[in-house]
Amino acid sequence: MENEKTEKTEISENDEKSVNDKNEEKAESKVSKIWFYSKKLIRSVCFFLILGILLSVIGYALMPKNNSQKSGMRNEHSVGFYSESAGSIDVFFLGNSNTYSAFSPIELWREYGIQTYTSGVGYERVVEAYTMVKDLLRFHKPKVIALETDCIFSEKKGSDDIGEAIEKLVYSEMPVLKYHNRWKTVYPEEMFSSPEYTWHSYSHGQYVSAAVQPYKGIRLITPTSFVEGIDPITLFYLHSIVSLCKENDIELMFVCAPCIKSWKYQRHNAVQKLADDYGLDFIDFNLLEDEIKFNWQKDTRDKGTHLNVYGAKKVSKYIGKYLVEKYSLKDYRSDKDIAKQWQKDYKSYLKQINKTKQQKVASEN
Amino acid sequence: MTYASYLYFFAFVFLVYMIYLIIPVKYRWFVLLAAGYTFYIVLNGFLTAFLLVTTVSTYFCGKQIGKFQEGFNAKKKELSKEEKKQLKAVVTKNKKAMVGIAVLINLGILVFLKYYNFFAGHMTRFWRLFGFSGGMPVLKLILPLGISYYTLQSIGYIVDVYRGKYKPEQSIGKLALFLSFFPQMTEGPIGRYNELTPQLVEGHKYNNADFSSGVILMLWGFFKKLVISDRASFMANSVFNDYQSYSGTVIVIAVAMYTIQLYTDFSGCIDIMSGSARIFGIKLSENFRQPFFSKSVAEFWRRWHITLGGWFKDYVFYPVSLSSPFMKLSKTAQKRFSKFFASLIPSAAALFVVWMGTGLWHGASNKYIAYGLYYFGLILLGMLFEPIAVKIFNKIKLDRKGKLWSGVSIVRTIILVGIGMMMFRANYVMDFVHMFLRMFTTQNPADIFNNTVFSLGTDKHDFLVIFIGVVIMLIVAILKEKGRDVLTTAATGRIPLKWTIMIGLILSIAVLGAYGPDYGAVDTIYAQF
Amino acid sequence: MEDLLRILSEVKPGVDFTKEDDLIESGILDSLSIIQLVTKISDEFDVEITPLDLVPENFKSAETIYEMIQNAED
Repeated sequence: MENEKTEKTEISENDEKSVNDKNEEKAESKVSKIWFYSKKLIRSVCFFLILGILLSVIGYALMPKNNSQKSGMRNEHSVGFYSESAGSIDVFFLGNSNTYSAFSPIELWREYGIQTYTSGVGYERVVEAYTMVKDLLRFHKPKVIALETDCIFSEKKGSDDIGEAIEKLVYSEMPVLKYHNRWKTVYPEEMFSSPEYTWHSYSHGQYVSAAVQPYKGIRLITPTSFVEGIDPITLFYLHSIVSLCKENDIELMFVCAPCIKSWKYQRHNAVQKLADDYGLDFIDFNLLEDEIKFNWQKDTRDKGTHLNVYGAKKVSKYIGKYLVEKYSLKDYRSDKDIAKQWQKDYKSYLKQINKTKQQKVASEN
Repeated sequence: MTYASYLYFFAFVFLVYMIYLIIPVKYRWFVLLAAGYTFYIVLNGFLTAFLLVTTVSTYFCGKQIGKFQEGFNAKKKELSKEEKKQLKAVVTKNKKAMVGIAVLINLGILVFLKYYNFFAGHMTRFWRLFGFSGGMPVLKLILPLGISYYTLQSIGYIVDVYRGKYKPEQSIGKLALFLSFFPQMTEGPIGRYNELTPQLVEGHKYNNADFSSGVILMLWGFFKKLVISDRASFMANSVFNDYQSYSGTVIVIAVAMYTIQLYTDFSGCIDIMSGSARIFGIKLSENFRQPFFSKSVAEFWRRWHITLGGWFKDYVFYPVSLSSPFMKLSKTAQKRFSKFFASLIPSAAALFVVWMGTGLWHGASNKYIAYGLYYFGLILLGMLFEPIAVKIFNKIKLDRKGKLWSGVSIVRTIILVGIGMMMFRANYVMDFVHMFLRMFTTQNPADIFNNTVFSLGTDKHDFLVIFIGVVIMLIVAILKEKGRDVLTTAATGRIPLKWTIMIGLILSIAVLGAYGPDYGAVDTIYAQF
Repeated sequence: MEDLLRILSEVKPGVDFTKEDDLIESGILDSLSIIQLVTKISDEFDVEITPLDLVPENFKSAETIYEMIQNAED
């Protein structure tokens, strides 16, 4: 039944077409063909235009209107800078979980009086770091962006690498897909209100944990001249980050936090080569462990995967000195209002350190 | 599988279609063949060798059967009736040998890969029963994608050639295309050579109606799969994997959820595949015909997974029933039993073979055998009680075709099918038995109101979406039952209607689809602070 | 033809087979009753009906079934 019907409609359509063809003069047939195709083209452009507009409208309606987890934002600590006073952050650290464990804006403030933010997202890929750069430019105009380089190789971790990379790419480019599930929780009145970002990250993005779980194993660093390959999607977005920073007069640098699980010498070589090509600085803490007295027995909170606050302090002290000397960053400690806020955050930071210490003891009992 | 794979599939179909349109019409089927093998190699790697073995063996056996037949046809005019009969016997024997070889190779691969470990396990247990040690080793076997589908296609082809339904395919490329057409590779439908190959090979021009209805059908399939099925799966999974923790009420709801999940998953995937084939102007066989409107389980199986039932009917049920042992059985039965039982026994025996096969086809495990036997039992009971039922209906003067009884029959069928689904999903046969008993012993309707039902991975919002989705599907199904195919009408209709449906489907999938960071493994990794 | 009608009403009592013209579509004959029918036909008419004959077109009506039997007799 069904088949017959569709066939009939097809035939009638074809008949119409052929009748039209016959009625037209041969000389006109070329013109009509062009007309036919341009009509098709206009139609599809219209279709995707309507679709795009509707998707953006829905995307806006579902977008979190504040930067806290409670109002639907993902990874609130990575976007805590939304609420910092505009243009106040001079340095951003971007990357995956290694980043938010290794760089401590609080310690950097206490030591050098510079205003920094650590915006890390677990399992981040370079495409997400690129979106983050675009995002932070809406609020701040930093002097330096330090890209933690472990995320360059994060495609090697997953089981379905390309799949995940494309998924993240799609989410980064289309917020409607990233936040689509908020239809469950969104309030009608917040849908079309303008966003107001008020949530403040006391740690400026750092994951604060004072837990100590030593790494069981031997740290081996075997120099090699091999260079690990970087996949084209990642390279493309690395390049995009470089250009975006150039356009906005931001100094970009690469930095690699101490990392015992996934760091390899051939990865160091790959990043070094990239840094040389682009003329960027590259600090690899894996080669500086002796210099900063890094200790894999004391400075990790989860047996070597991530740093704890003690490790972060050592790393931050070193990188802070480097940043201040190289880029002559301003010391804000004399500004009373700013110092007050940092002092408040420092108290919360200490509280969190105490809490995580106690947790450790409790779990041991 | 990540959700990105759906995007790939969409992209793959459109890329292949672009190439398809560029190539001259005559050679367009090469594009489909290349696409099929690309698809297969990407997903399956070296296991493609199995597909090649099947293709080559089917091709040569089919061709050989054709040669035997031609040889006979050429000679038969010059021969006397007696000689003709003799020669025919020889030719038939040769042809049979060829069919035997082809079936042995192809069914052999399937049976070995799919069932070896299952039978080895049972054999070992059987040996141990008698005190023997050792047994058959367990092998690590990987099942090539779609082998259960393309093997049946190849057997159907070779048997049809043997029966003389059509001449064997002379081009190995075309036969390879028949066995590797990419939309059919993952979940069927099981195609027939004489229906599918001409469409695959002829090469189609761009056709607006085909293109639009293909896209809409694909979107409809994605809607079923992502919006309804994956959402329903959360609750079904939590209850079936831990049924001891839940009351009979929750189990009943979970069974309903699983039934919805399986139907929308399977028919959704088939819609995606049929839609992608339709874009190329190719119509795949119908695999579902509103199965939940069936008035009996037998009818249900004529409307659910139609191509599998059809295959078993044509290549197992009919030949087994008409084979000489079964004919003899029917004759002895007629001598010994009443007329009624005499007609019943041979069909019952043949049905048993069919349902064992259907059960085992789904997988090598006891529960699938139980599943097949469950339906065998139901259909047999239906046959046994038919005469009594006729008498009862005549006595109480109830119209069996009336609306009331039709309604009752539909509900009864849905319940019976639901029990079948429960067996299908339960992890083991004994789990099914326990779950079934729990439904009667531990009913606790309060669970519906105290949030237990909504705390199992499918919350109130999800239930609402599933409910609305099912209502939409129901409306579409009722209209189709009345002969109005809404989706195709929309595709061939005017732009405002067509676009509304397309955009409506895309937006619902984008917003309501159960994909992304809130679902699946990604979420736990993301919970960082 | 009369023999056939008798067999038909044995398999499916209460149907007027002279009037029905689509036995398959209307659901009167399913694969089970087709097998019962074919078993009886091959018995009484002494013909060999092969699976190849078991296509919906041959079972549309009593007429078509009769045609199929005659073809098989040849």
